[in-house]
Amino acid sequence: MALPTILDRGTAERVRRDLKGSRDLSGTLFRTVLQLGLLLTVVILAVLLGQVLSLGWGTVSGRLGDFLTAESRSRAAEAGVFQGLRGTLWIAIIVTIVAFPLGIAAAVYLEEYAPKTRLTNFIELNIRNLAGVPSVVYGILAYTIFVTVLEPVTGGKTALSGALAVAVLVLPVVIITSAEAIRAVPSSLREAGFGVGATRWEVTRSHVLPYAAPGILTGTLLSLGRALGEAAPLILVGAIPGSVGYSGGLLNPAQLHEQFTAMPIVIASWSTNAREGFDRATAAAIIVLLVVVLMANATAIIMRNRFEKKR
Amino acid sequence: MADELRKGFHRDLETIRRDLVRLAALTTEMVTRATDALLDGDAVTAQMIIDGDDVLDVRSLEIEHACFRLLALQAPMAADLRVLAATMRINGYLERAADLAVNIAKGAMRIQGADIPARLRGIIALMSDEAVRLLRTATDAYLDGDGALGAAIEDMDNHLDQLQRDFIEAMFALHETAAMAVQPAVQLALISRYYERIGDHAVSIGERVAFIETGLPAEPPAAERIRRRRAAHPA
Amino acid sequence: MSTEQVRAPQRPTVSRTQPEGVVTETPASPAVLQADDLHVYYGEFLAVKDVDLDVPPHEIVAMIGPSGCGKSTVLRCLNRMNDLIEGCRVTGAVRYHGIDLYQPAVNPVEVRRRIGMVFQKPNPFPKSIYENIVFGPRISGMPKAGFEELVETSLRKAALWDEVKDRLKSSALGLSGGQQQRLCIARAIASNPDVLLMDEPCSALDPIATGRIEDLMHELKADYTIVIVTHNMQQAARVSDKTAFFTVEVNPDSDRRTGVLVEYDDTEKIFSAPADQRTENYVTGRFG
Repeated sequence: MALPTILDRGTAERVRRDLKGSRDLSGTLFRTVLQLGLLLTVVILAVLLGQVLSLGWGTVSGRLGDFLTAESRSRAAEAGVFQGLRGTLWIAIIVTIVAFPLGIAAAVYLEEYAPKTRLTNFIELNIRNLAGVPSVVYGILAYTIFVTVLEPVTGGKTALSGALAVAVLVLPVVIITSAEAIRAVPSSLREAGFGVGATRWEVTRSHVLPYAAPGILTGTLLSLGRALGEAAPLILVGAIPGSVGYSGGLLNPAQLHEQFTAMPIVIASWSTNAREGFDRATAAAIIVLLVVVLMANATAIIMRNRFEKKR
Repeated sequence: MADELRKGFHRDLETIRRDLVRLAALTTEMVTRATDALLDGDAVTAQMIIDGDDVLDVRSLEIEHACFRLLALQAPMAADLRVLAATMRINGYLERAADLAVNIAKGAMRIQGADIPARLRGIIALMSDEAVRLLRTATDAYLDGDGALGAAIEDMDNHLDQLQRDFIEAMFALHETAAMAVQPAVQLALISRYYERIGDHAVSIGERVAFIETGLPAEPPAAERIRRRRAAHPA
Repeated sequence: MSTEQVRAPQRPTVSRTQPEGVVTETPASPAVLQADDLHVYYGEFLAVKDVDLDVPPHEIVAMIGPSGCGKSTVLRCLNRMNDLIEGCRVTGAVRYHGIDLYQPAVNPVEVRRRIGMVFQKPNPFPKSIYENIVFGPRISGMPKAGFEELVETSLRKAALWDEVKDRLKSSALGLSGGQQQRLCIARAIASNPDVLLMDEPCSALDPIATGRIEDLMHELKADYTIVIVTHNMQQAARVSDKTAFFTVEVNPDSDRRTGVLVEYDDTEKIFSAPADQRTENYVTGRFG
């Protein structure tokens, strides 16, 4: 009788010991490293935002209306970002009109229509590479094509050329994100369409594109956000800091063929301006640009949610 | 086959087949022992046979249940299905054959002490041997899955049928010279019929073995008779 | 006009001599669908070979076999769904009421309207129940006036009407798996086909939903001819009139696996006394 009891007690102790287990040291370490990484990112972001806000908040809260509608002046207290905002708005419009339809169309062709040959693989690889090309290079490309070759159409160093340069810059990103969204459409959905006798166009229009829409939208609008922050290609195409433009109004089509500036350009030029008060004006301009970009991203999120609900 | 699936199922099936063969051996042995009891006038052996039938019935029911279980749980197909369906039938035939051996033992008890004429004793011994031979052949055919051998039992059975007719004729011939008492005469006539029926069951078992191999149902004699009648008298 | 035409695989040799645009017919055969010496290639690789199969009208034909035996591939060849697989090529003929579906003049889109398909996983469109049913009829240009009635008859035939009649406008994705699959059957029926191809239609469903679909198949037999691929032998035994058993042959030199039709006969014969030892081994679970 005694033996089984002793054995049982031994077993119970062993089980208790085993269940407690040894401490997973490497796992804990790894998690700590990850947490530190996240913390660092948040700290950097917070410092940046804090600096910009503390510096620019006075301008934004004190004279926001004036700051948004005034043109660039040599005195910081009177300077505004109206022209920069106008140029950025034009860029957004041209990118939406030119880059989005072109990019989505290319993605649809690549994913749904083009046979998977070596050529299409090569093309896709190149589009991926293009997305990684520095934006300065796009500036040079845009200068050659839009400013020089297409001068009769664009009018040289104009808002149109600048906007087109940015449109070309985001085109690869639009194609890649759209293609990925289309690729994520379950093949069972396509089969369902073909199964009831739909043509490829009918399947693409009625099923693939609606299903991929949220993904396409998110990708394209996020790329728009990036486009609005680009300065390098605009400088090469001839965006000029300071007061520009002859035709008045917020969105006058005539402005497309005139000299232009944009928010990033304004920020870049103000930040090097040593005169009194421009450091605060720069911070305020950054806040304005951030809000514009945030609005683009928010639009992306809202629209994606609406499409997903319909799915 | 390299990777056999459903190993457990096939093991169970093989167990059932072995149990059935064992049942067939027991039944065959019963026939021999019943004949011995009859010819020796041994009431003790006869009673043992009668009592022993209960064991055999239990085994038969066990086999039936095992078959039913596999049918219900394993959804057997093709050869497995044919084996199970045939085994259930063969199980029934064996159980009936064992009952006939019991009947022989009972007959032996009823005519215990009466003198069986030598001529009849001879034919009884022959009939018993023949019935045992048919059962053994049927068992071998089942064990080896030999459909051709199973189908051949029907022809082999003709000899037993002939022996039974000889037996009845011999009884009439003997009765003319020395009248037989009614009880032994009736019992002996019935007993000869029991041997003949055991042979018929062996034939049925053979037919089921043939079915296992071919999957074709045995041609029922009734269908053959109907066809012949129709040919003779076209409506 | 349609891109399938452009991307379609090479045509079988039989019809290459036919003038473009002329549809040829072979003399009438009782079979609705007929695979005649069908070989299927993926690129250079022979996926399925030597398939000869007659599908009689108003019968259910089941295709069974181990995975990789090409049964689904053959099924997809019957309504040219295989055109959608890159590099898939077919030789031999598939005749639908005597018309070879692989001759150049045949439009695969039209083929699929007459030979409907139900897939392994229920794949309703992410739209309303109503929209799921009318999509096929709409693209084939049926008059809109008849849609209400068509939706009802299709759903009734698929034994789904009573369950969904009050929520035709709600999303099809809100239905249970079994209901979704019956919706897919209703969707296939709505295009008014006369053949239904089903590719393992119950493999994602629970036993009760499976039972419903099987029951439904028996009812659909009156109006349609059905070919079903299933990995469930019991299902094939329960629902089908005829069964085709496919297996895989491994080429010892190249280690390539090619599907082959072993035996095609009445379902009862296949499951009680098959003629070929390979069929026997497969259905009894002695497959090696």
